[in-house]
Amino acid sequence: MTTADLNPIVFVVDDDPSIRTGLDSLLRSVGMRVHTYASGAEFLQHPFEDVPACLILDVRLQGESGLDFQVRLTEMKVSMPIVFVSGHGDIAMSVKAMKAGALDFLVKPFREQDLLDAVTLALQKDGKRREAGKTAADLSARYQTLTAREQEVMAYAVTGLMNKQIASEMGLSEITVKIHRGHAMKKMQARTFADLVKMSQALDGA
Amino acid sequence: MNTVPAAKVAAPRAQIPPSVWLLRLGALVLALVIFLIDWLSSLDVAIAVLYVAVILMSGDLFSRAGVATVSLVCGLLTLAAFLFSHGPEWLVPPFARCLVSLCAIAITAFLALKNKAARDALQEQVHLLHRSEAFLAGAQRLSQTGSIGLKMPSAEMYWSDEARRIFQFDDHLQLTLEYMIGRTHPEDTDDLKSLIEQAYARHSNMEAEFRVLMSDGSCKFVRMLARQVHDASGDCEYIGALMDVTAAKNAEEALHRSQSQLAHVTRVTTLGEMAASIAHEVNQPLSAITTNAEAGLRWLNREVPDLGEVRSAIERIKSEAHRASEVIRRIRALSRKTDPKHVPIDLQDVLQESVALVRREILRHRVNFEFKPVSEPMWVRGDKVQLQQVIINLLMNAMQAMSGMHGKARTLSLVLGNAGNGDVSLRVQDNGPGISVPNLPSLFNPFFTTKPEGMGMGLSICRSIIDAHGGRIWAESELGHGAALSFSLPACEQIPS
Repeated sequence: MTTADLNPIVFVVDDDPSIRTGLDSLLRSVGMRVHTYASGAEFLQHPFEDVPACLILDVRLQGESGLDFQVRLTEMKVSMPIVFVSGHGDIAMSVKAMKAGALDFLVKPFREQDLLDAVTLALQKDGKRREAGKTAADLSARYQTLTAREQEVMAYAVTGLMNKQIASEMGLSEITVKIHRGHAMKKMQARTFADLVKMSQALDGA
Repeated sequence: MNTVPAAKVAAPRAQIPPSVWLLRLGALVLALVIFLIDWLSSLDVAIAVLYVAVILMSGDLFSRAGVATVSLVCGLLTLAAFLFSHGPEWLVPPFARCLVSLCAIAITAFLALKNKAARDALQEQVHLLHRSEAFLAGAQRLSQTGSIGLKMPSAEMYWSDEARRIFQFDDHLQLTLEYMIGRTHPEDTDDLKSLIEQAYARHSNMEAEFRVLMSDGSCKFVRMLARQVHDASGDCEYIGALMDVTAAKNAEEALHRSQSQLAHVTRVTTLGEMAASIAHEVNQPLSAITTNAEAGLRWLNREVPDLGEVRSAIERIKSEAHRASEVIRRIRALSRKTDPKHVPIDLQDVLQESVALVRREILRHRVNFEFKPVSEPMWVRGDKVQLQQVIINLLMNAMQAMSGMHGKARTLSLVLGNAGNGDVSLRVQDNGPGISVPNLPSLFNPFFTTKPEGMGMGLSICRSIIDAHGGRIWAESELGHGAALSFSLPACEQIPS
């Protein structure tokens, strides 16, 4: 099963039950899966599913405020996109939220289309993030299957050295280098040499 | 300093009317005539006894010393006449007659002097009585209190001058109860009548306050107190006082008016302080309404409309609209400018409504709110809006006291219950910095505040409201351990239907 098959999920954290119910109905009406919670703590008590997700968070919450909860999530390395909603947004508050990485900041009563757009965007972003994360992880796993020699040959190859040059650098025969190079290409699932160079760059960047 | 001339200080001598001088002259002439007859005539009778008439006359014409002098002169004249006509001849009938005359003069003088003394004492009493009457009239005039007497069952009445003045009755009018009832304000007439009837039937005293309607249309407030007394014949009479309390009543009303205006102003000020919270309270249901409306439309516009979802969305819209209007109703009730109405109310209802109004403030201040509702209603007699104002003021003060507190959980606890004496009491306890001992006594004084932007009217208004409800309000605090403000109100026995 790939991530595309999984139904994304929208989490709502708001201490006002009527707002929760309203948002739940609205999001379900456009076919989204919704989970609602009264507080950040309640939200954290439930395990996350491995699907694209986003969080609609009320700024003013009883107990821990939405902004404090955002900071806590960052500390916990939960990088889910957050759409803030607030009964009265002041500029300082929204700047703080956006700087801390919020995706959007909506002031109640907001246009529902704005919220749906923000949520859709958030889910797309999270999907892409997960996809990217997934690719990087795959690449790294494939790279780990290479032997030390193959990794060394690959490192020389992507810098643009010819087989003969690599052989003299490594003190091997040209034919052995050719075999290692072929194995590396195969294990990394690189169809062309250009693919391999890209993969190497991605691995370095990770 | 100038000394007052002695002549002005001395009481002016009473002017003696000419008729008295004439009578005195008559008495002198009579005495002379008697003396001459006694001396010159040869009648063998005790003419000198007639001096008795002169002494009796002098009783009315002279002071006591004068009467004594006249008596002495008459005695001397008798002796002189005897000596002139008979010479020093003792133990003869004329001397016996002279002795009889002297005895008669002496006895008459004694009786006349005694009579004179009694009359003088009576005169003094009359004088004192007049003076005390004058004092009373002056005091009645000053204190605007008149006396009345009411004889039952004849309904005859006695009215003092001041009582007449208060009712604006003519001095010569023969007053009865009918007149008094006639002057009474039509709305109070029945009450006054039944009060008099009941007092008479139960032999009890009368105490009433009623309005009197003057002929010029103005209105006076009169307070009447009367005690029942029985005279020798067994008739019943009410003796009492009527007091014109219009000025006091007007001042009291003006005070009430300004107090209720002040209370209104501070209420509105408090609402102003809560404006952000109130806006949020209204915004929240409005936001829920638009979200639900949008959701409802989307459920309806689906290829296969989900009517169940649409219905529940509409139901939520309805209840949220109700919620918003409820918030507005509460705020309007609190900001409305009405005269306080004292009716039986459940203090727990008032408390819960007040808490609903400041709910957002409680959230905003991150305060743990503790309140255990009581199972039985707490009936008190009072004005809902004003009591709400007191409760909100206490809650806001407690939250503001805790707002500077960090690193410690803020707790606001309310305890509603019965005080030892059966009064209903409410205690608002915070765990803030508390109130210092020097500040405690002045806490309820006007313009006393510890807040930089405070007006210092809140608690002072609270106290005047609670005072007007017959209750009391007090503060307890230990510095560093929070403060508790409490008030108690007399419990209301009667449960409204």
